[in-house]
Amino acid sequence: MKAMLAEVMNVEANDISSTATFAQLGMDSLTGLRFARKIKDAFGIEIELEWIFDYPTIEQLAGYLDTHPALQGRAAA
Amino acid sequence: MRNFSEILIERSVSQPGTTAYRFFAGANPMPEALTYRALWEKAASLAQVLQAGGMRDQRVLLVCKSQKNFVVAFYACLLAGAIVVPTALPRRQVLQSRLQLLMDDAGVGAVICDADEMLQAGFGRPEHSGLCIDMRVFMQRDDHAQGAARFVPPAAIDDDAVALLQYTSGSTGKPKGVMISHRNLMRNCAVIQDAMEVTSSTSALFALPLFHDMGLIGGMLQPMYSGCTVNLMPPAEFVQYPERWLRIMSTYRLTVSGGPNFMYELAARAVDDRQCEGLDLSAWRVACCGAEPIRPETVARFRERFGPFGFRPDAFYPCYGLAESTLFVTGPRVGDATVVAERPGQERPGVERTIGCGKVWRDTRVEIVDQASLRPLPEGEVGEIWVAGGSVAKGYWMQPERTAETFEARLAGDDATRFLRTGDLGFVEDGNLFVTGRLKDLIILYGKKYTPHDLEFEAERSHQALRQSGCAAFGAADVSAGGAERLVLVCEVNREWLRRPDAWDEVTNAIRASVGGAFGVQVDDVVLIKPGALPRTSSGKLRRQQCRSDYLEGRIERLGAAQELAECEQ
Repeated sequence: MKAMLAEVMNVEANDISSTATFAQLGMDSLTGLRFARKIKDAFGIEIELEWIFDYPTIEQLAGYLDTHPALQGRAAA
Repeated sequence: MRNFSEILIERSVSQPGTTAYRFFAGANPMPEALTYRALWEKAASLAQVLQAGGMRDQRVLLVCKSQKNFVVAFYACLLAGAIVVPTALPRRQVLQSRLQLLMDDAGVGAVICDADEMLQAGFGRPEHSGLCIDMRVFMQRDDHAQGAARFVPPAAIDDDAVALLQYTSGSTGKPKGVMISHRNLMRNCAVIQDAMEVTSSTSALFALPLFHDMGLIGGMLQPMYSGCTVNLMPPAEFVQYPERWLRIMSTYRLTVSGGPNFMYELAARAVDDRQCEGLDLSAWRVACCGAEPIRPETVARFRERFGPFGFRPDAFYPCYGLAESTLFVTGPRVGDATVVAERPGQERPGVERTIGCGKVWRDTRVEIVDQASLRPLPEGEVGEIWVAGGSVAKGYWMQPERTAETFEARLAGDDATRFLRTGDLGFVEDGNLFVTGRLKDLIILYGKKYTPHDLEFEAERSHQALRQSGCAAFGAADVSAGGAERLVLVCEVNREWLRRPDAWDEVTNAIRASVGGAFGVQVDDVVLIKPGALPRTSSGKLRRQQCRSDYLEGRIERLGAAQELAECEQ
């Protein structure tokens, strides 16, 4: 997920901490939507933009997605 | 035909089977089509419900996520003689308060929506003492034909009656609803038809929000006016899948499309070669661009990227307008070369390049005015852009003072003509308008306008360390990012928190999260400062423009900056 976020936000993946919030990283609704698309392409999960505000760090969002039915039986990112 | 109800009725009779709107949504490449007849039937059936609910001349709030629902509901309101108040579904964090504020200001009598969040927020409850229509339920009914048969068009609608209220920005404090009349709509659509050479064989695509001027007037109403089919896509879909915009233009050989600068920038950057395979954009005659400053770098990038796929360099169509003048004020002749004016930079050293936004059409008149003397300035000099003509709206709903300030301006020595003061700065050269800046404090991000007060209000409440009325929000152009406007917040911190540098990051994060959560925008720079450090007038009013200049010139003392410098020097 860090790699996808790095692409969308135009930063180095190494510079992204799992616990920094998306808002701290400068995400807005445009980059949020583009991030959602990458997640959909990679994991087949349709993200609601609100989830990015509800689970505002990579760690939290990944944790939430792990529980998503579409991911059961696949290796988590 | 004198208004859009008459146009729709006429088309439903003379061309019932012709497609009025096509809705592209989701991965399914097959769009949903709505013929004039089908649209009329559904809209008339809903209009009958609105009439039965006493909505003639009443305000109806329209908040629909589905574009098809929005279009049907919009025409239903027009047919019923109600005043439409279209708006976005606000972010959940602020949904209740924003909608309540709008509803109170407009005195809304009915709500049309299609989202659970609206119903959960209680807009369907009796104490809101109004009709609440869930479009999902309405559209499922199979008796639209019978409903339409019961519909009786209202007695003559006055051309100057208000058709629509456009709330442009500002939802805390006093929101401003631009009153757009039936005449305004007809006049501005006629202007656009002339300027962009729209005919019944024009085919257009727009991926814009339908509740704001560009999407509403340009995307939804103008094609109906000219009798041509328009294809619509949700803006969020464009943001996620920009390649679809280009693919549909190509596949259907569409001739007109456009949007704010950021759309061209995103498409140029995000669409890869594989996604471009087989694209043929040569039919695209008018690529309109407006709503936010148009950047030469973006135009160049887009032409370079898509030129090899048939995009015509002369298709680019920079235009200028605002909701207070319905939509369109100036635009070039189709096919005109893009004109770029170079001037010494106003704010930064070097040269500023501004793209020309074309000329006036039909009865529109533009004057560049000196604010002090209220006299028109000579060609080439920068002043405030004033607009007159049949597209200029009536004023702001229930706000006689602000209406007088903004819509009743007169040139010195000329009482005859009523002008709109746009609050934008620019100059005219060889009949071409160049927009160079803004008098008002509005911030524009992704083509959308934000009132600083709204952003400041949200920021202040995000953390107890922040002082009430102690924030300043403004836009700063980021020259390194190619000149895009970025949002800056300068916030005073309460005295006790000056001694807690360990907490400053937490304060900054709270501000970002709050503003992001409320508006979906990111704050590029949060600057924490000492209490009382914001520039104010002698009566205590915030001097936002001064704060902005201070920021741009590096005069603001951030908390912690001096300390960091001292540490570096050790």
